[in-house]
Amino acid sequence: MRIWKSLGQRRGELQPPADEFPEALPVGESVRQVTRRDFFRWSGLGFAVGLASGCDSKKAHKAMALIQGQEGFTPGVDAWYATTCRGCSAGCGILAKSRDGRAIKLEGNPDHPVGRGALCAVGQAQLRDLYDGERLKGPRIDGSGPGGSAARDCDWAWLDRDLEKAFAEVESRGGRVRVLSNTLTSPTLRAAVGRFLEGFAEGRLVQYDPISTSAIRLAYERTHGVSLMPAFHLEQARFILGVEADFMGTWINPAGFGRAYASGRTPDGKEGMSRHVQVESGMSLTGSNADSRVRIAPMETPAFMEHLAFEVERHVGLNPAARILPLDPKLSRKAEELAQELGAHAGQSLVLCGFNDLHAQIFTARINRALGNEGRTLDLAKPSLQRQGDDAALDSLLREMAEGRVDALLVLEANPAFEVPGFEQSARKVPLRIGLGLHDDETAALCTHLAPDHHPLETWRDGEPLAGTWNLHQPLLNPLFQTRDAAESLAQWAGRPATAQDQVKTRWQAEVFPKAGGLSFGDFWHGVVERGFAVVAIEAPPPPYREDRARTHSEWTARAFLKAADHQLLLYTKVSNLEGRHAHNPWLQELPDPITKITWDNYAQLSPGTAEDLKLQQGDVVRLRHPGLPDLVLPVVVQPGLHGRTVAVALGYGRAKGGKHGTGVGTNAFLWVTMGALRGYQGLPVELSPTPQRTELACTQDHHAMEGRELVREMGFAAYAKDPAAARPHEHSGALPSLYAGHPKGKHQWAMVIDLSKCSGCSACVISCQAENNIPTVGRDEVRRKREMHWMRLDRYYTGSEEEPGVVHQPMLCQQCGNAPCENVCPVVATVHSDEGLNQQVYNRCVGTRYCANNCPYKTRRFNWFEYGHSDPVERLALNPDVTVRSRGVMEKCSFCIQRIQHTKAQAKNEGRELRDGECQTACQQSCPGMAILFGDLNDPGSEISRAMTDPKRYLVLGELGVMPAVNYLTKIRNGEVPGEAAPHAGGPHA
Amino acid sequence: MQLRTVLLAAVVGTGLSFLVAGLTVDPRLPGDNSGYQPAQPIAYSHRVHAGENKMDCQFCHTAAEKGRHAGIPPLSTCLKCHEKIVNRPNSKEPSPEIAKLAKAFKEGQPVAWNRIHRMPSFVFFDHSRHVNAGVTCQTCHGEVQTMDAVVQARSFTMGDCLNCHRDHNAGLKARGMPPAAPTDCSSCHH
Repeated sequence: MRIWKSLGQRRGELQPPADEFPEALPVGESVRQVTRRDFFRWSGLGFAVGLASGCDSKKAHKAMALIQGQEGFTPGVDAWYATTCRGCSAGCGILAKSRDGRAIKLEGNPDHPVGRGALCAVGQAQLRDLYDGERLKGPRIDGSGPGGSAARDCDWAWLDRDLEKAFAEVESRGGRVRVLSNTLTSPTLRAAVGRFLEGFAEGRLVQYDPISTSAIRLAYERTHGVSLMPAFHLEQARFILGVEADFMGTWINPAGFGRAYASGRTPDGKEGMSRHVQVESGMSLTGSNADSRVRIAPMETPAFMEHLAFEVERHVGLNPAARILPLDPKLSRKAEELAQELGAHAGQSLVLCGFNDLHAQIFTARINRALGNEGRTLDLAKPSLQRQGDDAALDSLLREMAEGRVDALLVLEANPAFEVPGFEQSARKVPLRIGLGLHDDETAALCTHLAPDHHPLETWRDGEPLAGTWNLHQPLLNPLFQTRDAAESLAQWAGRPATAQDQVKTRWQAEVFPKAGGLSFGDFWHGVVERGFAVVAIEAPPPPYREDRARTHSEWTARAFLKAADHQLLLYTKVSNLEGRHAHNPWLQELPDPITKITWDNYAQLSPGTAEDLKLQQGDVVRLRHPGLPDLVLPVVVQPGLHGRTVAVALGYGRAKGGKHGTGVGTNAFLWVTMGALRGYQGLPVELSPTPQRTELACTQDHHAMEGRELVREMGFAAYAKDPAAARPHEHSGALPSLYAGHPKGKHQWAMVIDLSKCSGCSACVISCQAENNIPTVGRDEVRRKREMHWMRLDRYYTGSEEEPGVVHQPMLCQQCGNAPCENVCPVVATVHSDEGLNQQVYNRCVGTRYCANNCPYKTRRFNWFEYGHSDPVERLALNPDVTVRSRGVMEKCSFCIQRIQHTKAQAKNEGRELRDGECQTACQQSCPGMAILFGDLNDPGSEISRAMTDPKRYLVLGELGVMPAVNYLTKIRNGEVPGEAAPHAGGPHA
Repeated sequence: MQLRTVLLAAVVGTGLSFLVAGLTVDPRLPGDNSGYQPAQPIAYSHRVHAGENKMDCQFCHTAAEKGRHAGIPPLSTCLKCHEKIVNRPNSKEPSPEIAKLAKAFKEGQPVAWNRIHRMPSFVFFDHSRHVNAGVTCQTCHGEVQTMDAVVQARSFTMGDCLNCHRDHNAGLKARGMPPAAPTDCSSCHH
């Protein structure tokens, strides 16, 4: 078998499930045994009572109208606002759909230069964050601080009065005030912080990033004399080398990078396909997309980069310094090969390194410099401001605090008590601790005063993610709780109260408008509010390269580790959870990891070889030890493609105060981040010792084993470019003789084409679908019982060997079969075919026999085992009012976003015109960073989808069954070696 | 044995008697709310406004051609006229009903109207499509311009909707035109 889904399947250990819903009803356990007689007795009574009472629906329902009408506001009609995502510090532009005064969906802003229209899973899930009923609901004063005797909620006036006294005290003690935050991209907020700190004798702002990229800034300070992080332009690169940088998953700006990357992955384009090589110790989402992967031990990166820099510089004719670091000869040869390839793409290549090590980053900067990539694929004149954290400053702040040299600490947009080891002990020495966060988290527990900020979708703010690119955040609704904007709080405490809106406007009038030009600020501001951003020219030339300093490296921070421990730690972040900031968000907790397919947990990943050596299996609990650190006890996940020495553990789990969904999920690995001038996330030697325990991971991987059929197809670019027609599958076209007469054909025939070459597996579509279609989360236990509810899932297949597998991601959703097996078996006609080719699921008819799910070859139907969630009055606000909330006992599945189809059709008809091609987008299609999903009307011969249907790469999943799916896939083209290339169609039953 | 027979007979008998009683007293299908005419907090008369004064329906229900809901007008819409018109029709006495309106507006309290036409949560009806297709308001809502207190004129059951759609399509077919009123499940259920 060439394609495999899990190690168990590959080795033949895994038995296909005996039945699809293996769990019997709990009759006789929790429920009293019901006899037939009881059943009739009670059902008879139920029938009578139902007749007597059930038909009366004359209960009065109230209808409330507005008191004052508002211009431009129509009840039930969407309004879209351009604002900015604050799920991470990337600063992607979003368009937020608002209905009847509340935000109901977030989508990427296609005009925006950062996200370019893409919005990742975390960004999509910000909607659920907004309507989190567990957010802090107002200011709070803790008894342990000055001015209070018992912890209590208070009002803002009280808090301000109390703080006024406290600040006076601080000033009398010496006025040493620190503001600690994650990267603040907002110039307005930074200015507010500055004004606040001015009032004290010695005030300072310290920024850090939970996942630090501090080394990049430090490296550029050495090589170019300026502490900056370049802006990367992947769309300009024909050859991308990623080294320990998960740039499509979690690194800096994944959504924007994902879209830029995908733009070069068109095998049919004139320029051919870009090539991507990933060098990594773990198995990242980005690595899973690479044309070629090089495995490397976590601590080998600096040596590898040195050798690569040496080879590249030699290749372009520079005279490189001798290499110092020893490297495995195999990797050294690999570096030589890569240098050749990079050299062939000089000026059109890009090397990205995610290792937070100064020397690795200096080498990266040197390589990009030597290749002439500066000014082309990476921009130093308009650098990125998305990560401005300074590890050294954080380190000295901890020391200052521990020594009692800080009088007051403000924490803003950060949760250091969770993310920074040693923070809590140090911070307790600070008498006045003020938290401005949104959540009652670990940091809030530590604070003497809480002044909760608004949610980003409730307030005015700005941001400058790239130099010269200014974002605007605007409120979608009035604040749900008694919170106050951080900028307003700071202004209040600085004695110069101003609303957040005024502060933003003033700053833009002073800083942006003069550069952007225009007749009046009023007009300019209107334009900005409409577009959501402004781009101003930056005239300054890029900083010059300083040859002398780039080469002076006498000390090697990394060398201490190079004694090559057998097992080295790799701390990484998951696409779904990032650094744990969103742990309270159940959408993200339940999002399967794109690679392991595990939800609701973190774990220790080991390579198959290492696991075998240690006699460990998936689910065994293992203890990770390192002298001086608390042990980490984690379940094992055997991960193909991992380097043999790697022990990979995800950060962001094990929150002590992560709300009802995040608390106690997984284990906190932040304790293992090494502090210092540069925080270290990888390379720490680890000792592994098995424990007798086992745990069952909530994994969605093997639920839908596809029995060895060729469901994903893959082909090398070289072979495809030579003869595109060779990609055409030799399988059945799908039209088999049928007993049934065909379905009547209406005006439209909806179909979808998914390009596997462009799907990175980032899972933005899964969350987009969840938000659009009111899909509930079910919790860890229910996922273990295989009852997750996602309509859109991503199947992940491995090809090749266990050590060096290729990975293919396949979005799988209801295939809207033209000859649907589910329709024939429904006893109550609850799933029927529409004349537009849709397979309709009628919830109000469904009685929950589950015959349809049983008969579905794609296993895309989901059954509501319980009345899931949706009962919290605040959480309910996130529901899409266009989609029915399904109740218990009802089957559901992807509808091709029928509500969006209906909406656009109605709009076109109201305007007296025909539907335009591309006007109707499904939620998954809209969110996809890779633009892998195409949706449209086959009856329109000029439509893009009609063109895509003639693509030689097109194939149907299980087309041989004759179910005539409306979802088509395009064979994945990999710009490199494809295992088993000699027989591209092998494995298909009709080959 | 005896007990069981008696119990069964009792249960079935009760059920049947409810069924018979239900059908004879008020023979209607579940979900059929026609005739529903609740009292409203303000005795607003559609007869006076839409009938005698011949005001267009969409003068107040402005969203009917734009969106899914026709919309109940905000109080400010009422007060556009009723800031001046405060007396009963054809009289010099101030109307207590209009006074309620002014009071609610002044106090900033929305009026809690009793909703008459109501669809279950799994039905999505779009006013704009019907209004723009030339269906009159009266087709579904009855002769509202003659009603002092609005009464639900039709059953608004699924059969009621479908009959109208099918009749419309049959009419189009007779004239050799393609069907225009959809009858797909997902036109209303999604």
